[in-house]
Amino acid sequence: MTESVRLPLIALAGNPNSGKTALFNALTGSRQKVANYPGVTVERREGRLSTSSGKGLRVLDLPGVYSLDPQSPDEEVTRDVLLKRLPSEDAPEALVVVVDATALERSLALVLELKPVFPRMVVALNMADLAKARGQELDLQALSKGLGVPVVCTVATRGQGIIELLAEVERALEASPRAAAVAAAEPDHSVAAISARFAEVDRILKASRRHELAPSFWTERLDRVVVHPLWGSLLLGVVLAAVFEAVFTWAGPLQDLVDALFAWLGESATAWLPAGPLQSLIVDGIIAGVGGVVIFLPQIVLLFLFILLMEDSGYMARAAFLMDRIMGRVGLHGRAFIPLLSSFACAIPGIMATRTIENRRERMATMMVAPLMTCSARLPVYALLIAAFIPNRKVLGPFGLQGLTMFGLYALGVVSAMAVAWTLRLTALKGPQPHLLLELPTYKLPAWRNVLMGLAQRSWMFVRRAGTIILSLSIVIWFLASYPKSPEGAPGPAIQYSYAGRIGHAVEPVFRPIGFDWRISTGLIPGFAAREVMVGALATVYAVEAEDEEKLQTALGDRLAGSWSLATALALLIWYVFAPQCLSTLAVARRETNSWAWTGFMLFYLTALAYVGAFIAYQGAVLLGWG
Amino acid sequence: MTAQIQEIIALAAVGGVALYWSRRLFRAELALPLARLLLRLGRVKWAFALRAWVAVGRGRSKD
Repeated sequence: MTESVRLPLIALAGNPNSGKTALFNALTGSRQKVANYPGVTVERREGRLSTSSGKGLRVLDLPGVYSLDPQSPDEEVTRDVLLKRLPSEDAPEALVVVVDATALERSLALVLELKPVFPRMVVALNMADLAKARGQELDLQALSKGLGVPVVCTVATRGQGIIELLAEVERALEASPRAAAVAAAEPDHSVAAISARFAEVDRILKASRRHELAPSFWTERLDRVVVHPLWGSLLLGVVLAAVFEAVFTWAGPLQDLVDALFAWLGESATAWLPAGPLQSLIVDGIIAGVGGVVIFLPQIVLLFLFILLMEDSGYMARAAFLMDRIMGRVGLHGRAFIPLLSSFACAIPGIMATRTIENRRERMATMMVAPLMTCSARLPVYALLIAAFIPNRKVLGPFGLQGLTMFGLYALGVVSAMAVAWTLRLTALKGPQPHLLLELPTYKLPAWRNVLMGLAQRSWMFVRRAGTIILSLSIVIWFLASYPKSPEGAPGPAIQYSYAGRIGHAVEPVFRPIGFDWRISTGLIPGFAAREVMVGALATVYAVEAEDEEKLQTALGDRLAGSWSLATALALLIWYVFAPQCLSTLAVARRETNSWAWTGFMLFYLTALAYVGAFIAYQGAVLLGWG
Repeated sequence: MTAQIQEIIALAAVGGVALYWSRRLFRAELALPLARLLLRLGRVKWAFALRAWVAVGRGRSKD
């Protein structure tokens, strides 16, 4: 048992948007560990700190709740930790309830609900500066007396009140004996009990509030435009277009840097190691495989940056509110907009972001369609095939045929996702029309410290995945494509004799009706690990020599244009709109749905859509004489 | 480094990866159903040993 395990554990609880995570960041700084709670995929954030008296503490940031009557998997975790129902978790020895000083009525009801369950409690009255700016004046002593627990004013984003808060926590830890810290009684959720708690909150506030809170000046004025059905929707369209433009254009130079880094690594390894199987494993397997995925890191970081900025400023809740009308028509929840937007970068964070959707059926429907959003891993395949087969000429004013084809592939993904969600909500995931009950927080300037820490954590999760799953798959794919070796003097590329080549030949009859020969079938097999691997796999199959990505794409494109028909290229493009060719997505879907059946269904329906779509595209193109 | 030594190292890496993931997959997905089956077959010691192994792994990784 390490020293950190023995340190007393304090938990942070509070309503969503109360500034809990900002307080956690202010308390622990960079000494944080992000993982998941055992058995579920709810994020678990624990950090360490030292008080001014030198006492070490562990801090647990619990998911936000409105009460201990959970409505989502995140809220269930908070209830289970506080009621000691998670055997793998240490029981917290003290609880800090973070209260939004600008929303006292709702926040204090949670304090009163938690108090009998957790008597060793301190209330952090957060965003005290915003409440003061809006004219609220509080008698802290009266508030503390009314609640029966110590109350400390904090401004977490500026680190104010942290020392006073920790002093109160230390006092609470010393005052009551450890055994009395957790009563672990089930709170009363009856209507009468809830009404009584709110009546008590009114009584306490009457006794402690000297000046009422004025409405937020900026929030009211901004919301007249931002949540307006017409102007708000137009603004959302502009914001989303700007985000996409930034993600695709700003990321370019950074992606070139990553590409150059991996090219340098490959060249260095080639120079350092003599030619042979180990050099091939490191250069063609590991560096090419991992580099092919890490190249999308800049796009993912930028997308997360915009998502975090929208969340922190309070705009994301408004966007979900506006999108609810469109999403509701296909049976999806307004909150599904955020995961589906994230899926344009990568379906993995998209599927993980569905945790905010409370209803299981709506959450499941969103997860099932998230892989249909065109993720950035499809771009290399689209770019290769469009450049090779679609003529570069203007057709609609300034719009070129190549750009329109790319747009059409994105649109096909979105339309299919909506159609699948609608079908699922009418059949397997049938249920009442979703209702959106959403708190619209006041607008705030994003706290850069929080945004950067959130960005660093999410980026690290992506890099860690690349370092584990993608690294492992790259090694396995290299093995399948390299062994057994071709007999000496055998004609054709060596991959034809490998396990991957043999599998390609074996499955060729299945893919022949959609226009794929054994070479494409061979490329599809490693492409099942990650879509973009297909480009490298095709290059290997066609035995193209290339030094860098651009040269590789040009040379390969010419080769493909000479060997495939337009019908085959169109079929492969349609295949990639639908095909679930990403093992990481399937692995995350398995974890998030906690069901092999739903993961199997996702794999099956996406493969079936891909096959049928590619079949129609190929046979239709042949009929038109493009075969 | 001869080609033969390179080949041994490369294949050891492939074997290591295969072993690591099969152990992880077994622990995450198959060990508990197998422990239940062993309990039903009356192999109580084996069943509890398997469950303890799964619990130790979860406690260590917390993910």
